[in-house]
Amino acid sequence: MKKGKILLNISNLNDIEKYKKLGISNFLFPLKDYSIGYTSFTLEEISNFGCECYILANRLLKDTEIDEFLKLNIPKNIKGFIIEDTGLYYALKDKEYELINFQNHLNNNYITINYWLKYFTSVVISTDITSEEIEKILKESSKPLILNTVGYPMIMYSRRHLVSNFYKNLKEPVRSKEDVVIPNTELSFKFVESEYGTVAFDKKIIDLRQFAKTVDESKIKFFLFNTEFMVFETVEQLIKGNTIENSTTGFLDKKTIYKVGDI
Amino acid sequence: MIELLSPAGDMERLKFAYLYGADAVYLGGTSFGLRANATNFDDEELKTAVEYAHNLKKKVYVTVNIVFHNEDLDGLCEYLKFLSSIGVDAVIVSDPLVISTIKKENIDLEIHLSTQASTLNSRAVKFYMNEGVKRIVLAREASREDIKRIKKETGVDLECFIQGAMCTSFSGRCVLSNYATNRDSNRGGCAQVCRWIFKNDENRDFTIMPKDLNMITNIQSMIEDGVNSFKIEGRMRSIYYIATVLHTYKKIIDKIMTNSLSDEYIKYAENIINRVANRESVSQFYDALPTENEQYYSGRKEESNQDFLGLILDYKDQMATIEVRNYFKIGDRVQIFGPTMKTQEFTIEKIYDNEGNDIDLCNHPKEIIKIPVPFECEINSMMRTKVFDIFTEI
Repeated sequence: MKKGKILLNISNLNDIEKYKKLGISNFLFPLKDYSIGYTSFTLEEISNFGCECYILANRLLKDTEIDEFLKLNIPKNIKGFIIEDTGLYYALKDKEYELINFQNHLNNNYITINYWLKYFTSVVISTDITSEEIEKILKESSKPLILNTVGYPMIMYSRRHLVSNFYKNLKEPVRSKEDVVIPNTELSFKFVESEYGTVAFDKKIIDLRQFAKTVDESKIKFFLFNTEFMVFETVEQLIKGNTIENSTTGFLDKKTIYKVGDI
Repeated sequence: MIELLSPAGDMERLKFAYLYGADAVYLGGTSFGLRANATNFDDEELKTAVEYAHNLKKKVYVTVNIVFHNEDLDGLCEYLKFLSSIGVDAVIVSDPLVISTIKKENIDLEIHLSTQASTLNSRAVKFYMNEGVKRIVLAREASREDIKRIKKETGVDLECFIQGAMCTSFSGRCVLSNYATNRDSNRGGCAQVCRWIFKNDENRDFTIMPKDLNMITNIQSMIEDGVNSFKIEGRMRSIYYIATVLHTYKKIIDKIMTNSLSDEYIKYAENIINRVANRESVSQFYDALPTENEQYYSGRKEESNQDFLGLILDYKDQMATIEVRNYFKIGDRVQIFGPTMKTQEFTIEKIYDNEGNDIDLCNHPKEIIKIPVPFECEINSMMRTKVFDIFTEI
């Protein structure tokens, strides 16, 4: 995996220079008020970064929020946007930015991905599918794609304030994060709430680096490294190709069941 | 045209839906639909369902709304052509590959965009209208202001959920089921993990489950704001649930159209709906973001009731022939409601078994009995326990 193909999201501005020294040159900044589940940054902070970078806007949006987005003074160093909402795509489609489709959990087959590639520069492939499915998608895709390679997977996105509501109901001090387990299983999730809703993450890091070594890099635009909840030292190990603890290959070798009758 | 849109998990539910006021039903075939647990319709049943609906001048929409994997692509084109050939009125889709297949193959099918696409703004609607989508089923997170703006800016045919269970997350943006059970939530296998009880790091219960949706109080404003189709959730619900919910909402819509809806009737309708749903229901996102009052906290508070006492199979000479559904006895005060009849109540004074013998009570579901009823009953009307006084028009 060429380091030049790693796209790394920033969760701590102090780490940028350290990542650069490790050979990383592509950076992704979650945008304040338009992203969810990530440490986010203002346009001023992103502008101060100076180098070309991408912005993550992964929220589902109302018209009034897109109206506000269109009033933003986008810095010149923004190369493109990685977005979830089709309406935001529609609002930006005639501007000179790379637009990348990141509809989490929905980009699971090559026809859907090629459909989006008629409109977008690239598409982020779902992490909910097997290695065979990803290989087929890469083989059939009409443009290079983004492989969600490393990170805690976001597995649920709600507009509700699930954590604070829970504690308001108990009349206890409100929290914005909650770590939970499913009793009698080894499964544990992290719920993170913001003004814009609640997301849940699996508490194991998805690590597809070994698989990434086997794919045709000409079909890859970026290997996405999501560093949220990780300390620099962990990310450093990931970039250097070392093994890390608490990781999984997710659904790479584990096909999900289509219907209950299939069990 | 205001459309009342009902779920239909099988042919029996479909017939009761139309009987009790549905203008259209949505249903799934045996493939490509998100309710894998429902009985659903095989190809022959789909054909029968469409013929049945069209004879009544009603509509059938077929869900083709899974999120497809590569392996699911085989047979899709043929299935869509089949749906076109039998004259289904629209397909409800979420994955754009279905849209592209319909366009590429020039298949004559109207396309409705599923709530799984989580559409919240007019720009997304314009994108999909350009792709040939005729109707948008809005995200359940859409507020009144969102609905008004989308209608104003696009004029698109809008469908909104008005009753039933809610996802905790944006529809489609959740794979808790995949992680917890390996069952694919976006391909019909959702295990409803959001309704489980978790343990937090203090070993205390933690839950995230929402109450149901209920838009009884908002139907008038939704009509004013341009919503065209009012959708009820629940393809796996009973005929009693479907009949009661449709009967109630149909009356609400009729009263709005005749300018005769009163606050008292709305209150009565809310009581009926809350009773049949077994779960508390609220307006959710329509006026404001859900608060702590729109969630459940210590498990699903389902109070299962046995209100549905029997189905009226026949009525002749003041004697109703009834298929028993739940326990009742002589002396019980009951109500009968039907598709067009006035809801009325009476006290059971006599019960006869299938051979004409006097009996005191009924406790065998599906048993056929006869009861003297002092008013005319429609076939397929339903007898229920009297819980509330019948609403009396002033």
